[in-house]
Amino acid sequence: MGQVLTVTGLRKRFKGIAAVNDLTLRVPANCVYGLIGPNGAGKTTLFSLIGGFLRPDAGVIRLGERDLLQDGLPLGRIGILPQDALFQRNVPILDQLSFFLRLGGAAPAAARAEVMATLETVGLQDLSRRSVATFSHGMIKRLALAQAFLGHPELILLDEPTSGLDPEQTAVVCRLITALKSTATVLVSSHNLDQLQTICDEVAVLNRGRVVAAGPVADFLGAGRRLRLTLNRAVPEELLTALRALPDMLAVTVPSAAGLTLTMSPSAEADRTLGLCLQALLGQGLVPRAIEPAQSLESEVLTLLRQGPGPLPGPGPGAPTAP
Amino acid sequence: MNPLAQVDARRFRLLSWSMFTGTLRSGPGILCLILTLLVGLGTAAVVLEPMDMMLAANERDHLPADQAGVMKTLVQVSTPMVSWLVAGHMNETAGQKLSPAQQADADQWAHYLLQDRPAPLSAVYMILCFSLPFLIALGAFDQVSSDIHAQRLRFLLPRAQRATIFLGRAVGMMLFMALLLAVVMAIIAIYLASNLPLYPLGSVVGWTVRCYLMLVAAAIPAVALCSLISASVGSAFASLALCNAVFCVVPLAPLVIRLASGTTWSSIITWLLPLPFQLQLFHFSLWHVAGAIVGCLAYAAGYLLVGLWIFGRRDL
Repeated sequence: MGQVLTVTGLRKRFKGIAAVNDLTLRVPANCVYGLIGPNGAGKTTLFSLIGGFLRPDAGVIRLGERDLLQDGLPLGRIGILPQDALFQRNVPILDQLSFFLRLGGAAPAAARAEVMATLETVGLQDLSRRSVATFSHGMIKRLALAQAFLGHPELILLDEPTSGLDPEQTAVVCRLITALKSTATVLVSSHNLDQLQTICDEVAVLNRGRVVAAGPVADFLGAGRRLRLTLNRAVPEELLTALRALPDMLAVTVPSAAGLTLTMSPSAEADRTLGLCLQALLGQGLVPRAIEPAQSLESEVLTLLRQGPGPLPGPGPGAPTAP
Repeated sequence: MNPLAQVDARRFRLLSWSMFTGTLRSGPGILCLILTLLVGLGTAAVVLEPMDMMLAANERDHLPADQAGVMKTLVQVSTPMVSWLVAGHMNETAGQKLSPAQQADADQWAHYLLQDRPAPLSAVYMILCFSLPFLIALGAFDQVSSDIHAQRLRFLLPRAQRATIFLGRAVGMMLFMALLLAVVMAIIAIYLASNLPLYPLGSVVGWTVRCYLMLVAAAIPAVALCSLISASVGSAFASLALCNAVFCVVPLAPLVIRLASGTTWSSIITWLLPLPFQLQLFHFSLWHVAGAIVGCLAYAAGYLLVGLWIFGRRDL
């Protein structure tokens, strides 16, 4: 089973520039944890520090009780998809991946069998005898994912796992990541926030080497507070006035001719308010053709990042909290 | 935590073997094999050249083509020169006269190399020993540097400790060089024995085996220094250039400084490489040979420890 990953006061500078600056983070066990942030926020550096590729200037990284900087990585228990690492170009991928497993103690035959099974999950089983020299970018990305999944690691670090993948493969990878949750803790970074919103349980927003907000995805979205309705026709003004007068209704706006956006307070009464609203609409012959959340992780993160560096939210026991 | 204590035997074995087989298949490995063979056989041909010239002269003068006689003459002519050469290494201060004991030691050493042992083999193997670092640099310059550059080690780091990767690869490269030397020296021995059937087979094989062990002892620190340099720079080309520069500059710098300024302190520079021990590997006294082997291994250990320290702390 996965273990809690704790990062405390981590710092890393490159030629005087702080890539990671006093970063503190707590990743619960058996969850998919997303790292969000603009380019240069420190996501890849954080992955590299946790993976032991880079040496931090200060700070502590713990996996469970183990101090990764003092005691080293627990070999074979961490799977990593590095962003820019290259495979050997002249060695068949089956041999390369089998070698990784054999380092972990697997017998040659067992290693090859597991590699073939893992390659199958990313759709590369028919290419196992080939080297990466003939692979496309997407195929190399899938191969790198396969190597990260090898050996059933407890902690999996995936740095932009779906960049360069087609939509079908992206969906496959997202399903794989979600399925890993039962056996591992997955830390994943991506610029595709819709994707992270779907697969992540919790996220942390990084900016300028620090965590500016962290918490469950639901907290970021404020679930159910704002809904966008598409109706069969425009809402009359008097009905809009009636809707605005409903208890716990904070705002009613008309973004388009047949559209309606409802903003309700995030109280327990919000569902009742929504019910009353829908009754009123249906009573006037206005039929909702689509109801969708008006909030997204992307919009919330963009709002958060536009607010600028400002004072950090309180880190609480291990990490900053969601806004 | 002591990095050496982290070295895991199974991973070490796998990484060594992977380096060994990988180098066998790689361009630098094949290039190193071909060049070592060319240098070895080229030297053997050069060593045989005076003999061929004398035999041709004998034939022209209608004298008997007596290889043994010609070889005896060549050895007699060469012995004082070899004595001077080996004595020069024992006493590097220019102009200083050797003590009678030192001169006697040098004479006995030259006699041992040219008369007690097959002289052509001694000449070829000693020249090969001193050209070995340059040849080794061609094969061993890229133990980790291009992998650092391509971030390829990032696939290995979650699965093996840095110390295991570094030392495993260094030992794998040493094994490759040992195999390369075995192949090259066997070919040289066969070439010389077939062209110059003057020495008993046992003598040729015995001296080749002993010289093989000496050359392996000389190769180990050279590979270790390449490991250190390869771990220090994240570029294969820079590593190659630096390895060859070190092997070229260190022996030549004292000579140049001495000629330019007349100072003798510059000979200290030669101690950056195990050069003072290399010649001693061919000494007639087994104690000297044992000391030289220990010296070479100590240098190798020193290079590896420094390399390990750098590799263990650098960003990969």
